[in-house]
Amino acid sequence: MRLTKTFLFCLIIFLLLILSLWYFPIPENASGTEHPTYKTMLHSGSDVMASNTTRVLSYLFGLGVIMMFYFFILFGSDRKKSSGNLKLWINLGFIVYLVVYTLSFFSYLNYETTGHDNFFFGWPTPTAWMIYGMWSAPMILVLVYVIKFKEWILNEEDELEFQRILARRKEREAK
Amino acid sequence: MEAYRNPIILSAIAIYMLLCIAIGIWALRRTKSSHDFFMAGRDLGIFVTAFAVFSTTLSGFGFVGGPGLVYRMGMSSIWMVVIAVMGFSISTFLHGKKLRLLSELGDAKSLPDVVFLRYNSNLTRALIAIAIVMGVLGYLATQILAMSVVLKDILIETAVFSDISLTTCMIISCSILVFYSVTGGIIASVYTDLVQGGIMIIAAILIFFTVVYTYDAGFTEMNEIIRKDDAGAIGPWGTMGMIGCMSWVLLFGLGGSGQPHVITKFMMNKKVSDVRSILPVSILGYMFSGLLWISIGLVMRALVISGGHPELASPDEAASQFLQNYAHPVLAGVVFAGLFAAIMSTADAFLNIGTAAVMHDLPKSIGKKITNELTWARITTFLITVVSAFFAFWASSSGDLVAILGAFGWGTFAAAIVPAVTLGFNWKRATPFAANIAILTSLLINFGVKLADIKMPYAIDVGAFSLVVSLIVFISLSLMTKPHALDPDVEAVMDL
Repeated sequence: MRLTKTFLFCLIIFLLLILSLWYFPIPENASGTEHPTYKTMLHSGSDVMASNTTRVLSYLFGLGVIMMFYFFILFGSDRKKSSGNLKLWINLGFIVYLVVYTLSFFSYLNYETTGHDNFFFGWPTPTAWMIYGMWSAPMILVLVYVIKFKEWILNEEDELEFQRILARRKEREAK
Repeated sequence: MEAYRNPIILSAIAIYMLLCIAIGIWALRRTKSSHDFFMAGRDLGIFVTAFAVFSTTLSGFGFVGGPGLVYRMGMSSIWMVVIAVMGFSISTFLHGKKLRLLSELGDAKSLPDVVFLRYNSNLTRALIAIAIVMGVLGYLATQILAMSVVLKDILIETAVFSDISLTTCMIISCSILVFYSVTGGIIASVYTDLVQGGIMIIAAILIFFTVVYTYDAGFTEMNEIIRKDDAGAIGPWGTMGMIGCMSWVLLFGLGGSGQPHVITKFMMNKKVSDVRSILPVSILGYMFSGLLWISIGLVMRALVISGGHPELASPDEAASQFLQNYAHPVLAGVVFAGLFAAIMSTADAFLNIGTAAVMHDLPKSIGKKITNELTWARITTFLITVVSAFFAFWASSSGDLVAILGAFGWGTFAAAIVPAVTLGFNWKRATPFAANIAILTSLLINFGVKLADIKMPYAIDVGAFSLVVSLIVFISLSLMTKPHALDPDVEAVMDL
């Protein structure tokens, strides 16, 4: 129950953050504009991140999204029996995810303000954080799920228990 | 385009269409009951399920819409690929065990069947079925339309079919779709997904290297061209900006666990423990297929900016222009065949859940049971295809409603299904009343915002906003209303 109430509280804060976006002034072309030369392309708005308010709101919005992922994974791993160190690994996975997200964000601010043109494996540095970092960080969750499935998620005893429940139900329905 | 390319592309598509008919006939022999028709007899192996999960998620959008979005918006839409690892993880953590076990416990033939088992409420079952039908009609019509448009674009290049109409292409497309779906049901769909998935992985890797060799310095040169034109476009948020992109991250990361055509695949695998292997296989498949989406979109943007290719008439032409002009014709033929495979299997998956909703779930929710379900399932599949074809035909001239339904399909499913199903199957305190109100709230916001033409700040996706609101409604009302008595077996399964 504590998990649900904490999640509800965070969701309400997140909703207030979304609603506050209507309140604060929105920079011109914040979500792109027509490309000056090619009508089938869009062009990014200039100086969108120059506003401190937009920077903070953008970062917090991203945090809100990650918070939702975190709580959902926690709900998915919740069970009556002990789930071993599963929650510990989930926490670790999300700490890594948050760190990568934050590094990606600050790298982007640097890219926007200084026009830095360093490339890392074919991509500008902040984009490289996105492609290589944000994509691969949740692999911790995948590995834990795959490797520890039989111990922390569904063991043989659970499968036998399910077969018992199923048999009991069929027997009851047959009567 | 060289004259020899089109016959090669057409041959590949013709071979694929014949393969579809063969799969339909083969699946017909394996479909002996409505349980086989809707749930593939709950007998799918690891690779078939994993490929079905990632291929259905990607659908025709990965071939046409995806590269088009990258061409138009730069890196913004690449988040839909980047978030896949997190998205598949969320779906598997929440559905891989519980949805599979509950569906076996209730011998379910559809998602609303499991919803009924969980909430013991016919109204909740009916509302989920209605949300599914609303999403299916829009999605299916756009799939039929997309298939007809691509077929016309290819046939019109030939001397024999140079004046072929869209209507004729629609009739051809629907005839094959009807034959394939009516005969094979979901079995035909999942095995086509297997073929499609295989084609996509191989084709995407080959396309990726074709793109890399388009420029001497590969991606670095291509991305530098884009950066010089617009640094934001090749930045991590593309032209859309950070908040808009993160709303897509939410919608595609979490919303994926609310897509009925995808999550029903978690009800079809043979053994529940197979899910531990299904997760990495589906992630790898999606990752490789995503290479096609990313590389074609970026290379076409770079080619147009550098003057190497004329500007496209429409962003959706990015893939077809690249394939017809830069890829080897056999590879182009294989990718076009993959495109048809993607559209066909996704359309079949939609038809399948739509048929189940109309023929199985809605009658059951008012206490009626259809006898001879398999025959009626086939008749309903045929009728839904015909209705959707008319819908698509009408939309081709005045496309507003289909555009609304199609574009909002993912968001509608996400906001309506994530609270009641994804969360509700993992949280015992959830009540049917809260589920019903949350579903209605999500539909109201999704369609209300669009119809009232309300502009979201920073281009936040309305589906993401609606998802947050419906979750708050769902949890708050569940906590405020009297606890709902669960079926003891359901409770025991939810405890596992």
